[in-house]
Amino acid sequence: MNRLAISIILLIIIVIVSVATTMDIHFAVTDLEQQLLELKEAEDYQLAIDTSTKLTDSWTSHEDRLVLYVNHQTLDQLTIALAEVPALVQFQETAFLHSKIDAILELLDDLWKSTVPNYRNLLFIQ
Amino acid sequence: MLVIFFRSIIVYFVVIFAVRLMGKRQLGELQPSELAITILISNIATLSIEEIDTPVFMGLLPILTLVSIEVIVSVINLHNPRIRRIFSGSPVVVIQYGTIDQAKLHMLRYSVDDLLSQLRTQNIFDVSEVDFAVVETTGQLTVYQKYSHRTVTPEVIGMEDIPKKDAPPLPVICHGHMNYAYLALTGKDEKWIMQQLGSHNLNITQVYLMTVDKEDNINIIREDR
Repeated sequence: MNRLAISIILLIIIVIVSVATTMDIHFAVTDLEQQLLELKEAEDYQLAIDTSTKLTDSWTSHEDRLVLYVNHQTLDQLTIALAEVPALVQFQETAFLHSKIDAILELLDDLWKSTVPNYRNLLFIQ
Repeated sequence: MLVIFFRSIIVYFVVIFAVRLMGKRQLGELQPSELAITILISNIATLSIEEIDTPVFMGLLPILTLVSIEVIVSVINLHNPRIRRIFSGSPVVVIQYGTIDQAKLHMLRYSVDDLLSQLRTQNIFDVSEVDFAVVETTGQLTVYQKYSHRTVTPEVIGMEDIPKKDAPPLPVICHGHMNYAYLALTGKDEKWIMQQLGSHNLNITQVYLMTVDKEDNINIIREDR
């Protein structure tokens, strides 16, 4: 019965940790998406610079946690894409910036879709 | 390299914990569900060591989940014969009153060579010696021999029963350390053991092995130093 108790406690901990990490990913994805949309809509140059700096800082802090439970390849793709944003803002490459933002939004969307259990990622592919 | 080294250590301890959690039964005979878990654990453990792009928790989480579910399912199996039959199957009698049940063997996809080979592992070379044989849920063959071929026991030849001979000698001291669990089983106490050692001019650290049986016979092997 001791083993049963340990197993049940372990399962409860695993479920709690899994739900907590899913919530954390949701929080990170929502936060980044919001900042990316703000950056896309920013008309003022200084506001765009400030938003991109804030975005980079946010990503750095989120990545520190996400690296514990998200596949590193996915995070690397996001890091590379987000690293290009400040330069695109600084040199006012609006078209490239918008396409990069859209690409990052897609990556974030994919990350979220692969995190939440559904019939596609349970039965077919992430 | 260091990452793989430390990951290996982490995974080693988690797998040891997992196997211990599954219990001693796991180490001996594997039921179908236990075999599946063992194969899965060995595979997942390798992935979490080698795939350094994947967080180690992602490897440990499925191991702990599988083991926890296995323990819970085994407890449910223990209390529910119907579920036990689904997870582990049922024993099948393949030889009944000395007759081989060919249909059952066919159903189990068990050839006559398999049957003979299993019998030979039990030192039975002639099927006619077997009264009953059962294929257990673990795949092992259990054999009940005909009366005329069974091992002679003291009861069969009418020897007097000596209950004191039933218990084996128990190791109460191993490598100079008292084994209190066995000591309790012998019904003796530490003082009695020390007296016995004293009568041999020994202290506990000089003893490699000391056994005591139900008739208080002791056997002491000195530490070779």
